Amino acid sequence: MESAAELSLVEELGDIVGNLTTSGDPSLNNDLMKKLKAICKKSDVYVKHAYHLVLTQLKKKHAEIRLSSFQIINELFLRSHTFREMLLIDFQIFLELTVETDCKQPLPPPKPVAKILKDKVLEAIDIWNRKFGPHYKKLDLGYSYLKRVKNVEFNARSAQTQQSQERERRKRNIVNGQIIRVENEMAEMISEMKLCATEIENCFKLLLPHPDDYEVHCGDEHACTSSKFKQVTNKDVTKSRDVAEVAEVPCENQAIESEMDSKITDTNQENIGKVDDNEKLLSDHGLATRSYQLTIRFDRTGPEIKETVDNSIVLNTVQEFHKELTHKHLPMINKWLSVLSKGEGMQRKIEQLIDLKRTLEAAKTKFLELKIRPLVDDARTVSTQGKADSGSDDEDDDSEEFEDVPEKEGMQLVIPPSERAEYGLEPLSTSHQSPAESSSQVITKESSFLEQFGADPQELGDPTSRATALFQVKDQLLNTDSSSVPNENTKAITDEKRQKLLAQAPVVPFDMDLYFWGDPSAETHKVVKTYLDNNWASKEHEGEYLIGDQKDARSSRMVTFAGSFEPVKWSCRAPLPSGKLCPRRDRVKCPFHGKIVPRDETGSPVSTAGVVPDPVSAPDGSSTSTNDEQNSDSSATDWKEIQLEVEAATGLDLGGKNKRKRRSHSKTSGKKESKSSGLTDLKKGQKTARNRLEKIVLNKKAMKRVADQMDAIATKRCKDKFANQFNYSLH
Amino acid sequence: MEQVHKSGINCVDIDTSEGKYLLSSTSNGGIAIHDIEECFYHDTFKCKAVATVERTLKDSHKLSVETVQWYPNDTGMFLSSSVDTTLRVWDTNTLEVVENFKLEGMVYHHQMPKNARKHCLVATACEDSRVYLCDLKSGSAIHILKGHSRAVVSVSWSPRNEYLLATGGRDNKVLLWDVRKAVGSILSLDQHNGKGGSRSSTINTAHNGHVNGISFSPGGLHLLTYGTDDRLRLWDTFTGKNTLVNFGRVHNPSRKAVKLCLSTGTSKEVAFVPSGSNIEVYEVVTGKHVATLGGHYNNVNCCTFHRHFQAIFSGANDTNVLVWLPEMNRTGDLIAEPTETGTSAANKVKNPYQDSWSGDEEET
Repeated sequence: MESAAELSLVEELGDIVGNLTTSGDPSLNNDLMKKLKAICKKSDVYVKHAYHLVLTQLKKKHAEIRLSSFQIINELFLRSHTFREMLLIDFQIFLELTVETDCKQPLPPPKPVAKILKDKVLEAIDIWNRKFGPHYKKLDLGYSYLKRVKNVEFNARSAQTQQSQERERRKRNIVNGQIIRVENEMAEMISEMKLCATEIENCFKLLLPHPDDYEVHCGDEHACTSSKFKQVTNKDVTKSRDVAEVAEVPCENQAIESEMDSKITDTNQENIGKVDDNEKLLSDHGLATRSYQLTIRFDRTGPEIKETVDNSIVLNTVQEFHKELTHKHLPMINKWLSVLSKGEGMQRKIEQLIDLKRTLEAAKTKFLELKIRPLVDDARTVSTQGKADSGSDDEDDDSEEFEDVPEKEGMQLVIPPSERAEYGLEPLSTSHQSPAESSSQVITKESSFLEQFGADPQELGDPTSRATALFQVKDQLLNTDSSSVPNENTKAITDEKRQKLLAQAPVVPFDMDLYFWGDPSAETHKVVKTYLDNNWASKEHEGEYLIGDQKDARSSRMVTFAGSFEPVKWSCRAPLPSGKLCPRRDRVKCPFHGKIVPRDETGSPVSTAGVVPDPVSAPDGSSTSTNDEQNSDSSATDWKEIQLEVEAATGLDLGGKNKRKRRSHSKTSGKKESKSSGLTDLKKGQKTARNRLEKIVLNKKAMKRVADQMDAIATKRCKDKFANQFNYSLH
Repeated sequence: MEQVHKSGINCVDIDTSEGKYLLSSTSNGGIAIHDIEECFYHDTFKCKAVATVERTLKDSHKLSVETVQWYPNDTGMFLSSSVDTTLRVWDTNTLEVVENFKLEGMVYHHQMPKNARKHCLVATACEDSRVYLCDLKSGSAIHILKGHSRAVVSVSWSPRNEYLLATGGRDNKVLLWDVRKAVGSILSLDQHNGKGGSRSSTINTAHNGHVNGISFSPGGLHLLTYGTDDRLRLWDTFTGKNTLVNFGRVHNPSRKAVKLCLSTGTSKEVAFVPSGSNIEVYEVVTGKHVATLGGHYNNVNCCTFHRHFQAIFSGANDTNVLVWLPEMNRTGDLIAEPTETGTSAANKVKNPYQDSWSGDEEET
């Protein structure tokens, strides 16, 4: 009975091990593993069988199979004594197969998996040794062998963690130091900041009293409002925005108006003669009706403060505080917050700081909302007062009345028409003037023009006088202007255009083409050829000649314009086998990784959604073909499944039986199929740049062609050298 | 055993007089002496190193020390031969070289007869195909045995006849010499016993590969040779005939001299043959494979048998010297089954071997 059970279980065991090892997954299937353990638990016979199965799998030259096998071994090793003993008998082989102790037997590809395998095995051996080392001599020996002879760093991992801990600790120390410094600073500065906040608040109160304050001072409403009115109007404050802060003032104002309105309506109502008792009562109290319609208009523009002599000091202080807030306190608080947020247990302090920051920011926004309109004169005086602290009163006066104008160089009187407006001159419009008009007005105009520039019109006849000079200049101006500048407006547009074009235009050095620019009649250089040394000179050889194609060359010039160099802002960033990203900075296409596509930080291409994967965007040009194959494959399999179902349902033969037969055949050799499913195919040519180039460079045809070429060259050289020698020519 | 060696162990030897000290040599020129007697009486098997000779010493070998051997009569002297072409005689107490023989080529192996009374010759297997006999009395190495055509790898003196010497070389030959006869070897062993065809009548080969291990049986009746053709052969020393005992294939990846040993004083003579990283145990007479001792992680270079404790000591390229003790409950026939190591060992404790199937399997 046992043997029968054994047989089935053994078969199952083989299936499980085969499936587990050929899955190609980096981790084992939990369910299968549980089954395996359950079988192995029954008897040591199964453990032994499993051991042999796994070992045969381990010997296969595929890193993924080995990795999976090792994982099974690890599971069983930790559980079964029999398994441990069996493995330790073959421990050398195990080490050779998993951690390449024998340099003649390197781990099989794929390489990354092999690396993982090695790391994991070493880790596991470390654990095994700690757990079983004292009891299994050979394990201990193997461990020490690896450690001493193969120089495996078992403690590398722990050392790494230690290092990271150390780093963490140092970081924490630094942060703590920063926090302490910040706390010290805070102790100094917070009171100052609070003071600043309260002061600025007080200043606001002075500038813009809170509506609540109005009621406190006075019982008599009318008196109060009137006085407040005065106050408010004095300061030219119009309140608005905040409903809570709805100023009593305009409200009162409106109320009075509405009262007036209502009275009018009341009188109307009385005229109609329908007066209610209640309304009477109301009217007794001075109110006409209940259905008032109060419309309160708020000024949406925000509070505006006109600076006056009275409040200028307050405003100045507010401005100063604002400056201090924005440039000193707030950045400081931000800095503190960023430091404190790194530390732990700083919640309270952070809250405190945030509160402070909020108050300060509120003050700041309040200040910004206030529209302080400096009175022009006042502002001037204020500003000059500010300046005058160092200077004398005389200077003040000067600076008040005159503005500094930078001196013009060269001929000032010739004002280009485009800049006339700047000089405060009326635009020239002489071209549009009728001659009669101009003749009548010419003299007066001239005189006024001359006066404008401070010249005496009487001196006009004197050629040495300023007036004549001015006049000449003006004449000149008029001539040029009438031809070139028809209109100020179009001029502005063309100017703009010109600026644009100028910005683009390349600057070339002055040359002959510019010298003859736009001059069609420009003479070309002619050379008289004389053949003095030639006795038989014919007629045609004499005469004038142009040098080459000078005529064309004169008017045109070659300018190499390559545009400006734009540095490439992106790199290829395809993942390299070393784990880094490709640092090549190519504009369009990396010679190793194909067209440059956007990639995430791990280097895998970010597929832009909705974009059909075109062949160019794929990282490798050749990978698309495989994609297509896969697609077609998957569709084919889909169709096969559907076909099977349809056939089963209808009982019809839809063809394709051949394929099915092959499939069923392959199912019998199930291992093969499963192997092809999970594992990475080693035989598939790796798509490296080297392979790609190899295909082209080491192509048979190309090689042959090159060889032929070389042969031809060699024989030619031989012929050239030795062909005329008798003994060589025989060969 | 205190871990002193940093590189592969080439040779180990136990002194024949007391059986107390173990001599070991390494491939980086070091020599160490361990006290092994104490350990057998303790629970934990840990040998103390008595003395070490580092390569940096003035006297010591600068290259790999291939062979070390105690002076057969006492522990006051030992001999070492090295790749640096020298054979040195050491004073154990002062750890100084008292005699230095310079030879023509690398010395692969040397041996001193264990029970020679009439002479004091050390046979050295030299790279240049000659066997030099170094006379300790005169301090000269003038006696040369010519006969091999290629390097000599292994030598062995007969324990029965003090003038009988067997040498094996890279020319696949095993030659028997009478050292008193200067002309040539007395016999070349033939693996086919003269029936190997026409060619073998002129050139008798003992193996189809290098002969890198050679050892007389304790009684001197038989000679065991070990070749790189993965074969062990047993020869009758009187007739020089191959006894044709079939040991099967014994994998022999080593290309240097390998020191194999035969047990003495046991009910059945067994041979311990280093084979790769294992030591194979064979019955000498029948050729039956008895056991495989696996514990090393690299090629085993040498093993030596301890008469008193019936233990074998083995040295390998993985820098370990392992001690193999016989399983005591099977008295009578000596099979060194349980493994005990020289490096940092604890005696085997049998308790932790219960299976530890965790609870989660029960549910499945």
